[in-house]
Amino acid sequence: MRGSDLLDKLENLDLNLVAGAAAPPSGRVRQKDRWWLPALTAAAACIVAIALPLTLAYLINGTAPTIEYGGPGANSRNTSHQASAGESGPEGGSGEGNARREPNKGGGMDGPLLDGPYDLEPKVSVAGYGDEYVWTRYTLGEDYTSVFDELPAEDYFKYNVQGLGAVPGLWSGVSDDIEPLDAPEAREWTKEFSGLLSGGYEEPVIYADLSGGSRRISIQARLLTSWRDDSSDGRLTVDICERDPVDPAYLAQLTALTNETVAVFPKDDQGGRRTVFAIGGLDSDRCLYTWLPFTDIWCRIAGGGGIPPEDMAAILRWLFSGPELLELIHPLGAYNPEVYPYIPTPQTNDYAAPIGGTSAGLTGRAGQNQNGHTVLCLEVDYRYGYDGRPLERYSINRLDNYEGEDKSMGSLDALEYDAVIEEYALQRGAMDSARSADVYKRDQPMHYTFNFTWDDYYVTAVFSEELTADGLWSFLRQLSGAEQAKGTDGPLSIEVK
Amino acid sequence: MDDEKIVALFLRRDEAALGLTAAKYGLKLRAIANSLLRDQGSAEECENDTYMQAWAAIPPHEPWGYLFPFLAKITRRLAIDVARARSRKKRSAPVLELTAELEQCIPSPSDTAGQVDGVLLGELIAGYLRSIQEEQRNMFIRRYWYLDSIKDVAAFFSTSQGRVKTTLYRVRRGLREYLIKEGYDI
Repeated sequence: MRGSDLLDKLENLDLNLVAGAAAPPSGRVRQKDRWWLPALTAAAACIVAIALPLTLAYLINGTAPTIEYGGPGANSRNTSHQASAGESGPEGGSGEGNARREPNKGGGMDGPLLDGPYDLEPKVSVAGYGDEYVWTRYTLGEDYTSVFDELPAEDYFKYNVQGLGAVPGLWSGVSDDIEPLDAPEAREWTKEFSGLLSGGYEEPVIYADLSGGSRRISIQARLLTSWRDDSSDGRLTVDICERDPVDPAYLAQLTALTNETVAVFPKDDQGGRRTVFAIGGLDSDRCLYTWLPFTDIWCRIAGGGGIPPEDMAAILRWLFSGPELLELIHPLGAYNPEVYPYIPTPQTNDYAAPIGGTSAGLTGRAGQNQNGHTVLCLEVDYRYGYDGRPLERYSINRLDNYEGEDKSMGSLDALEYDAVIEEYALQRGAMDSARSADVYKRDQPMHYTFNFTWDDYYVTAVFSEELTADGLWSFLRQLSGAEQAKGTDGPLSIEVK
Repeated sequence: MDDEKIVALFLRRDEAALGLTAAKYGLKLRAIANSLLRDQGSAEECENDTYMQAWAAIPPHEPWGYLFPFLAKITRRLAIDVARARSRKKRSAPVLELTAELEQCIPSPSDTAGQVDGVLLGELIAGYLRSIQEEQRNMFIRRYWYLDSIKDVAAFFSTSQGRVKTTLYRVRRGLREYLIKEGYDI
């Protein structure tokens, strides 16, 4: 029986069940009916966020805290490379000497809730975005975070605004139009993820969209006790994206509502800088977000008020450890840049070939990933010289490390025209067969994948359907130097040190 | 007007039944068809054909207490037939989405046995749906019986599309395991 048969046979379903689903559930208040609530709350929080630290600072020290206040896209959303409060922004203050808050002095809407066994204090400053959004930033610098083997989970959230309850916007920007991951490893990864949590969760589901210009994964879980209730209280979502998808103005709006804690950690063994941003309080919806070192993969862990902060911190540690799942986003997962010191990152916008090549059309990253594989991944853009952009990407692995199936056409220098065209025709034929066998695939993009060896490396090159047979041959000739590279400043060559 | 009174009019062959049915349920029936066909004109045709088929079916059927589901079932069948006829000429995305999702409920994808008894399967599926939570059950029915899009199901339950997808995924998987456990080889 096929799905279409089942669709038909469902008409025989007991009509009492059908009738039971005829009307919407009662007793729900749609969040959009109270659209004005976040705006009102944000306005109130802004007023408190500005007035309260200034007042307290004046009362305690007799001085006002430093204000760091940048324009759009400035310090309000720092990358992993620049994160401590007190740095002067374009319009900012002096950098040091911010007012210091005493921990746990009376709680209230703003300030830490819990006594700890330690006497550490965050640096306090006021940050902002544009002319509209202002918040208090609590920075846990290296002097704070280095005291602990693991920063206590509650410290991410205890200084932010407490008692807000639901903050629906924390989950936005990633998970719409995304399907469950269909991969054999998904079950194993789900189990690995569940092992991080304290218990009481439904089985998580991993979603992924790996097809578009920005790959993303979303892992979603929910506390068993919250299943009957549509509130976000028991909801936990981990979003991992190739590029940060959240609009900075929107993020600023949320941050202005809850305030922000920024935790800066000492460099790790590989020289990676970890900076974690936390918004939301201990008893409300909250999230942690960060960029993983070197790859700049963006991660967000969002949890409802019922989710233990310790679970969120455990997930964060797991992400920093470079789990295999990250290789769906980037083949490197996380890597050590000291092996290849000249590799540019997307942040630097350096389009020079990273490893001795001269093509202006390449951006690249390389290194060893956490599984010990040396992987070089180059992304080529249209400036490489093709009409359209049939070449989408290619990856280069060391031959002695390559563990995949060998589908190579042979060595690049020894490839012959007839053999290459034959391989092209085989793949074209396979695509056509797949489409005629399954109409659902008709509108799905398909790709050519060609493999060959090149000196000590195994190369996989992926092309869109626009590739022609002659285009493929020309590409290979350019790569081997037998033809001049088109659209570049000089002959294309790729050396891997 | 009460459904019982409308059914009584059908049984008396009083054509006022049709007008009253249209007034009470016309919008909902059109919505079911439109979910699949995405075309108001075709949805209206399905609605009108529903009334004709209901007129022919009552009697002998006497849908006391379940008039709307009875009518909705007719509309659903009509809409699926129209969608299939279209897909012979070009792809109909909503039907293909639904059938692709439902494939995941089928333990064994072989195409034999064409002739799985529909009534028996319907009872089995009903048994499974009764065993799960009400909201999960109703989401499944809204999606695969009422043919709502994911977005419409989310709006119906005032929740997010992501949550709807997760729920449907789990229910489909649970149904598949249930059918395997019941030894249902389809």
